Amino acid sequence: MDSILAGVQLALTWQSIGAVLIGIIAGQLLGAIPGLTATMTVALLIPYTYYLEPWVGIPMLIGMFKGSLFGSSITAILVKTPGTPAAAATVLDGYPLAQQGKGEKACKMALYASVFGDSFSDIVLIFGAAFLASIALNFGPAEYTLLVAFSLLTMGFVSGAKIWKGLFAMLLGMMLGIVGLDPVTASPRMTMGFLEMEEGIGLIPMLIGFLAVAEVLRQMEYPRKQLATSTVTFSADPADRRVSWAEFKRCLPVMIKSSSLGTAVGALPGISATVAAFLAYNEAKRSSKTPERFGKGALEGVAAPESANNAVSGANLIPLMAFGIPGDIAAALILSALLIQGITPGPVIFRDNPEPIYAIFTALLLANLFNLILGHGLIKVARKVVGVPKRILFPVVLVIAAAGAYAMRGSVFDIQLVFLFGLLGWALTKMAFPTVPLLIGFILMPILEYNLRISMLIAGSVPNPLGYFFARPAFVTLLAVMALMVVLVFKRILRDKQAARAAGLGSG
Amino acid sequence: MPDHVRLELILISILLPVVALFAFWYVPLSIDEPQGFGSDSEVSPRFAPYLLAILMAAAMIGRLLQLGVYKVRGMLETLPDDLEEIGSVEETKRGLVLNVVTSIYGFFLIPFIGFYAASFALVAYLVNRLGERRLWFIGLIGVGCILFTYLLFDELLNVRLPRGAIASFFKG
Repeated sequence: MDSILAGVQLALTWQSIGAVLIGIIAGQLLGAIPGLTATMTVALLIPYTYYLEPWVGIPMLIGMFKGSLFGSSITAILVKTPGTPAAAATVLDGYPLAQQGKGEKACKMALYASVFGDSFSDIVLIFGAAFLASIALNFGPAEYTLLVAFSLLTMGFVSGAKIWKGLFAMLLGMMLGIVGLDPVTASPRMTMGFLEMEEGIGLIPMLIGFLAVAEVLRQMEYPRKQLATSTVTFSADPADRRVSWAEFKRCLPVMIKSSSLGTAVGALPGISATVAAFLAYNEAKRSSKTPERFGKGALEGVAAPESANNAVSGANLIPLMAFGIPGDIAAALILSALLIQGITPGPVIFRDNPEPIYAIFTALLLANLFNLILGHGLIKVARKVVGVPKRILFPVVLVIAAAGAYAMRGSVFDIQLVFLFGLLGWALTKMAFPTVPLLIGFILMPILEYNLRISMLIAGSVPNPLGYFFARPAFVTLLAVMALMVVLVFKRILRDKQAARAAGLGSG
Repeated sequence: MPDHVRLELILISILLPVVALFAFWYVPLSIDEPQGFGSDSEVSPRFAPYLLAILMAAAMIGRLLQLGVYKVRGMLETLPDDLEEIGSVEETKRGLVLNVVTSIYGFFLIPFIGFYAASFALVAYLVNRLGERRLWFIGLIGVGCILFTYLLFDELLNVRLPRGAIASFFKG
């Protein structure tokens, strides 16, 4: 108890509070710039933390990470340009809301959902790190394969009016996802001789091209008169500018479910906030009583991905704090910052040197509070920026998108990919192909293929390959849960059909 | 037959041969079977592309069969039109021109004259094309844009944006 209080005291010094504030402000502003990911902003700050005390430097990193996740949603909602890949799913309903004059409402919903998801996973981290990490460690390649394959299957079928187009787009995305070195044999696949392609197609150029450039090109087609106005108009109705208590309550179950999903995904090493956001969006749509509202400006469509992607940030620290294993790149960066400070996370740290860990836990909660307060300010600034006429804003967005794509790997090739994917995204939109399944296919395919190949190699090396899968309790549990979900979905479809038939008879 | 169904058929008739070409020509050409390490792997590196190509073809053939059933039942007119919101022919032509412009920017201007000069040219051209006529204002936006990018990326983030082949030529 004494060490908890000592940790809290460390986090409540003015240096630590100031560090969280600076981290949040810088993160929110940098996160709003396309191409500058949360990971990149944290990486940029790491060298400077060496000169700071651990309870000052680490909270600053955490603040920056959380701030950039929210900052990226603002541009995703208002100009359809996610600042980081994690906000790509927020575009789906955030942007339609902005087009209806409800951009401020959507941004506020994103803010509340982000803070909710963050706080949820932080509390889980503080109280259940060791327990959750032990469950997460039971997940092997077989379980990952099952999880991802199921997500892809459901996504392909719920993506739009024409199932074949959704499936085709998803498969095309998966095809783009396998470009690069083969995960087992390391032989190049479809690289067309470009060395840059051996690393695979970068997620950043892909997302910027598909979402930002394609949309800007699509809108620049409009007659000049329309381009003299601003990108987004904000409704004067106060109801369209705030999230009412009733709306918040309506989104609360979605936020709880998405935060749980984000926390679970974040606790699994190797799955990013982007994947969590898309999975949560998919699940919110699948389980909604009115799935047809999704994609047209449903508040739940903003709340789900935002709470999930932010929940990942706290949950990523679960395996890190409990076992010293970083869940993803951001957690690995925080691990390196901790190591620089001479702190080695893992089971023994709670016994030997717990104060800095409790200080970090307190800083996580403080960062959420500051994110909530400062987020309102960022929304006000963003309102002014997007008030600029489209004919000025769009060319500037193209330039910043190109610079952001270059910044990640320092490669002109990535800038070219941005415009290539911009062209592809524009062409697909012109043929009414949905782009979301393509993006999800692209993101999930490398995870699916790698884990499938590894699990097949393992299964092939034992006498009874099927026995390998069914001897794993996590695999069997997951399979049972998925089968149950399929049964429930079919039951609901049947019930809806019967209800529609009954309504038809009634009216007839 | 409704226009959108006809367009869908044209699309499938183009995409199906493209997928076949991909599977039968491009995959064997571009993905080598492993000879040394990994040659005894359970799954070939060509497995995933082949599987995806088969599924793509299956999705399109399935749609053709579905359209066939609708035609036999005389229900083609009832199919929803998803091409309503794709814009007019004029808009598509403008979009094509803009795609060419951005491609020139990304593929030729940036590698040759560098990021800043290329970006100034792109912003100036696009702002003018989209309806701004005041030359001083166009110049101001171009300069403002590259100044912002320079301060953010080169100065604050230490990301040196490409200077282009011309700069290296003058440096010798």
